[in-house]
Amino acid sequence: MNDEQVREQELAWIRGTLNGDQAAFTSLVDAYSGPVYNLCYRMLNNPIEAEDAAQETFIRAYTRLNTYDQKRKFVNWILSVASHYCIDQLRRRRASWISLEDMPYVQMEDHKDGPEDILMRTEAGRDVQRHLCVLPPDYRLVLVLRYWYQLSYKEISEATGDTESAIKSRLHRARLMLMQELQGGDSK
Amino acid sequence: MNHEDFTILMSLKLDNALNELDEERLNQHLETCETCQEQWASMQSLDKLFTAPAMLPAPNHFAQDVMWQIQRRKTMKLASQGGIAAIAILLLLQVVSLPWIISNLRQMRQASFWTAMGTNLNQYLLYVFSLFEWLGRIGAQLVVRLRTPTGQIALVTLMSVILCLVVLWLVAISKSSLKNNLERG
Repeated sequence: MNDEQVREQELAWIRGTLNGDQAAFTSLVDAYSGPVYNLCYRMLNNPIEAEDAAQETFIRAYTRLNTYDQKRKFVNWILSVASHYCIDQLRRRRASWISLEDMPYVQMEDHKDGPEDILMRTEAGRDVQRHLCVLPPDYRLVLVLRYWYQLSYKEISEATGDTESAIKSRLHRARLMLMQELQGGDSK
Repeated sequence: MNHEDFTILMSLKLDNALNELDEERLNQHLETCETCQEQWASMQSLDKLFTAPAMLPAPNHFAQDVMWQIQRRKTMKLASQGGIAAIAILLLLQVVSLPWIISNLRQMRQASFWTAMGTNLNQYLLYVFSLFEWLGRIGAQLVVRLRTPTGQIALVTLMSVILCLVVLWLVAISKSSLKNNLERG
């Protein structure tokens, strides 16, 4: 299917859901569960919390689907819903600044055979996730949206509700922080 | 432009968001500045680390779990609305019975009233049951119709009116009781 067909299919599911067709919404969940779960996991760094957050995202999307602007990409809209939810969760958790030494490896080992365990077995995957957790939530979010979803500054600003210049600045600072962290890690 | 300004340009370059003029400026600076060359190399390494990162799949049965949660919340919402409607019905029943109770308040204190009540119990029960039937129908309509924002406001208003009437009723009863006690005293 090309992009246009995908878009048409997506809009058909959305209209179906708005008309009360639950199977249409199930199809939407199936189509976007991966990107939403991935974002939640990257942000929260915990498989159980990520699953709960992803579920909550879709429940919110279901109840607020009538507010969705059909001119926007659905994936960007749902990622925006997930982003706001994860940021709220992280602010509640108050664990935005965790040093690399304090990173909970045990947490990952609690859920064997999960997708995150497979990822964590590779050194690069483990490094990426560990470095992400060094960043404050707002910085982590822009980095995830930029690298995992290849969103433009404009799309990130739509998803987060911040200005494009704020996004540029946040992305730049996030990179500087990561570089410092990487250099610190190398010297240890 | 200082080093800090050039690192901003480096970041923009990584995102392909740098205009030609600034790119030229950055390239010229990189040719001569060793500090910025190191910075640029580090930034590129970082960018490489994060390029094409793995996308995690959602757990199995995720969609079914979401749909189950949605169904559960719908049921809970309906149940809470039904609960509100039931309370409203009970309060309405009290309000509707109010004139009858007030009119029979004095007689209710006499034993002959309860004897008569026993005789007329059948008629009384019929009255109450028919009242319940109508209130049940109204309650069902409330549950269905009051699921909109306007409906919720209407429900809250109705509840407030009923509560006020109940309070007035209680005041009337206590006043009547006080008056009787004073008369007896």
